[in-house]
Amino acid sequence: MTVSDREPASERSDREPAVAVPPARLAADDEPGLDPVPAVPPAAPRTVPRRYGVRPGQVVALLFLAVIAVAALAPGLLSGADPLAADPLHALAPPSAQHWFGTDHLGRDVLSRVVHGAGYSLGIGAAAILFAAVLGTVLGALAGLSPRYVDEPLSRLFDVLASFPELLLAMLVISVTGPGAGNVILAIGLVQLPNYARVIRGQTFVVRRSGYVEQAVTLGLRRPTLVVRHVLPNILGPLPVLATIGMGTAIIATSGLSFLGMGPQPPDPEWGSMLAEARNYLRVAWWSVLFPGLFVTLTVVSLTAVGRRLQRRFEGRLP
Amino acid sequence: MSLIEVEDLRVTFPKAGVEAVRGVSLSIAEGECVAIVGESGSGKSVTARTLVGLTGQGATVTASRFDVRGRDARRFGPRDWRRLRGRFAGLVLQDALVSLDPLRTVGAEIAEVLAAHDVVPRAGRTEKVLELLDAVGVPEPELRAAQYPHQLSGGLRQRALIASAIAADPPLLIADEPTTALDVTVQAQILRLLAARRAEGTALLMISHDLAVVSSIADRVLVMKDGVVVEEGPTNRVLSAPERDYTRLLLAAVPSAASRGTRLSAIATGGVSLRAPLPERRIDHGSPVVEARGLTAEYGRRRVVDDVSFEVHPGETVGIVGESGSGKTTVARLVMGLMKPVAGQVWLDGSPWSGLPERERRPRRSVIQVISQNPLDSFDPRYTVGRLVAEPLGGPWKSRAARVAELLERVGLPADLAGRHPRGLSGGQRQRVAIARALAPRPRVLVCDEPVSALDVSVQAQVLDLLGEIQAADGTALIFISHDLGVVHHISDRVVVMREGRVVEDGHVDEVFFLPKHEYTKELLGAVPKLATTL
Repeated sequence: MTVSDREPASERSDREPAVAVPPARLAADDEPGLDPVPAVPPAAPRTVPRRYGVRPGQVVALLFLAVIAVAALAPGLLSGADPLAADPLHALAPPSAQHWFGTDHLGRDVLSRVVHGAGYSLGIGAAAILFAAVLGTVLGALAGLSPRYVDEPLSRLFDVLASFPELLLAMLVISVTGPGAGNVILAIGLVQLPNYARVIRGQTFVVRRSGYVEQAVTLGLRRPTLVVRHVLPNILGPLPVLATIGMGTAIIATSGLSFLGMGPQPPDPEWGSMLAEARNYLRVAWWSVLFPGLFVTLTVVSLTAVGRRLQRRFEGRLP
Repeated sequence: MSLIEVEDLRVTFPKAGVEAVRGVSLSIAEGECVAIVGESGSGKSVTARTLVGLTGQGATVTASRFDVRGRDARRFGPRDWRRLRGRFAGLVLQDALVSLDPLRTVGAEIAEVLAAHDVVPRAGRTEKVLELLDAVGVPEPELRAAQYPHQLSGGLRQRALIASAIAADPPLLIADEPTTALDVTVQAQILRLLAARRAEGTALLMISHDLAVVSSIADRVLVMKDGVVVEEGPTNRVLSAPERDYTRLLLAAVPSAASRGTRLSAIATGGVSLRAPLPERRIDHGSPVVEARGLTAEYGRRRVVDDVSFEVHPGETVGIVGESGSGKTTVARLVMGLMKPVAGQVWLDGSPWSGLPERERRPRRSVIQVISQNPLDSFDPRYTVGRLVAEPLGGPWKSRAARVAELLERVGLPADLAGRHPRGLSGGQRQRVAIARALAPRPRVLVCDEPVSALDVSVQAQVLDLLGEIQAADGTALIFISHDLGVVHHISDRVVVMREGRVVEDGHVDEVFFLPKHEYTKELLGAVPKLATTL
């Protein structure tokens, strides 16, 4: 955004026939050669618009997500221990210098399991969101661009999908397909689909009625060209925000399904299934429950914080 | 005693780094009408707001003298200002729909002023509200007082706003562009109403960009530019014998019957302003390039265009005038082939156009191009200037650069603007970009839908001059849609007057405007404020 985008206060209060005429007159135009008679001192240079500071919480959230991303992509960097290596002699050992997060009921290192679990949560969440966003965009844009007889059934489909409670619908899908990481992706993707499809459909309506699409018609563009060149790029704006916040929801759903035994199966170190396995030992070994739970929570909170920031930026409340 | 006496008023917005008002001196005597005219950004509105303590947050106001009715306003706190507003000065703003609370009835809005200043006891308020509405010429005050702002027409809303402004019977009325959003006939009514208030002894401070509006009502005029008063004096003197070149340019830039065939952006040197002639145009009276026959269009069941016919010859300009809702823009859409008429036909270049399927129309689209009121709306928000202008050109993107530079030069824009985003450009520059893009496919017809309505008068002058030059060079035909009769008279050869979707009168522009036959045309022309000037 440039300096000239921002209207100085004097302009805003000037109730001219609204629309255009921003203040930043750029030389050469609009300024008739004037007499210098009234001694007009040069206007003060406009200062650069104030940058809004990033909140400390948002920085922490971003750093945390970076760590989680490293854990997901290269868990070996953060934890040398084998997440699957059982050591019954040291079962349920409290946090120590050797096992920072303690060990679980089979003596497996909790830190290592949490680190290796990031890949499952993040991977499944990202895959589900990708699925939902891509299919949602395609269907939403199709609904938005099509005549009523295509738009109506599609929209009703989105409504039906959205009307189920999220977890219930996901469980329904898995009860049909059976448990496993791939099926969790499918289930969560389907649950999230209407969020994307509806927003994209709405965006498409706005864009296809916009002045610039009409202008493109008068330029004689063929419809496919017009859609690819002017409609599609302009409807994708809200996607990054939706995806970031949706990712948090997807991770919670993944953990929830795993907790219920519908996700990746033990002994895979998925956070939700770790919680399920450890919950019986809560009274003697709080660490085996606390750390997986904490990481689910922190990841979701961080994603939401970053998502909100993106959202404010997208809505133009931030530069 | 003067109502307001200000000397060396300075208003700065330090955060934005803007000096909006730089040393303005102003006095308003009782019963006097003072007008401030200027283009956007001249500081006229900020000045007016400062006079009632509404400069806004983050503003620094200084003055060597600032007396409101003999009291030093520099020491006023928020409470002092509150007591003044409504009681001492009523404020009327441009758009009553924004100024009135959408969730309250018009009556409640006015009653609030009465309550705030304890004008009449509670019991008498309803009656006083009706009395006020009646005084500002609102028919059926009982009905209107119970309605919400959105249920009223623009004219009635503005009247209601004036009623609330005068409710506490202030000796001063500050009107900031009170008629800018209104149709010309409604504008005339509001101006009559303001004049009537003046006749009753209320002083008036009027802010306007429109010299003609000001000339009909003000005793004194201040011309502002960049926060400074450039010229001030009695209205007649300033408008008929301006002393400053800026005032002269401003006056010369106003399009009218007298300015036909000349450039509006005049050269002012040595105290005389000269309008140079525009290059000669040739109108080919052979076969018309656009021919509309019996055009009829409906939105749902509502007929918005009814049996409209006209033709446009190469090199000719046909103006379409009418008030809002008269169907002008729908006619433009029909001619552009963006909408199908329910009856009638548009012929382009001698062959059918409006009835065709889009597939057959597409190859001929380059013949007819459009320029709209708000160019920003018609630009893909992701595109740079260069890309916008290049889009209609054929061939690979890279090879179009030379032609883009040529087109930008033609509309008077520097070639290095190609990499910029239209959002960062001024209104005039944006409209030039729109014109450059419209010219790219070498059209034979340009449909201009209110192309200069959002522009300041000097920028409007430049854009109109540019259109005239293009027409002379290319022999382009122009369909020029506007609510501004002066602009239409300046640019058009023939004119079509529309009302409620029908053509009430058409013919040569001088004939129609000087010897109107239809009542509506007469009414329209009668409502236009005339600029008494020798220029």
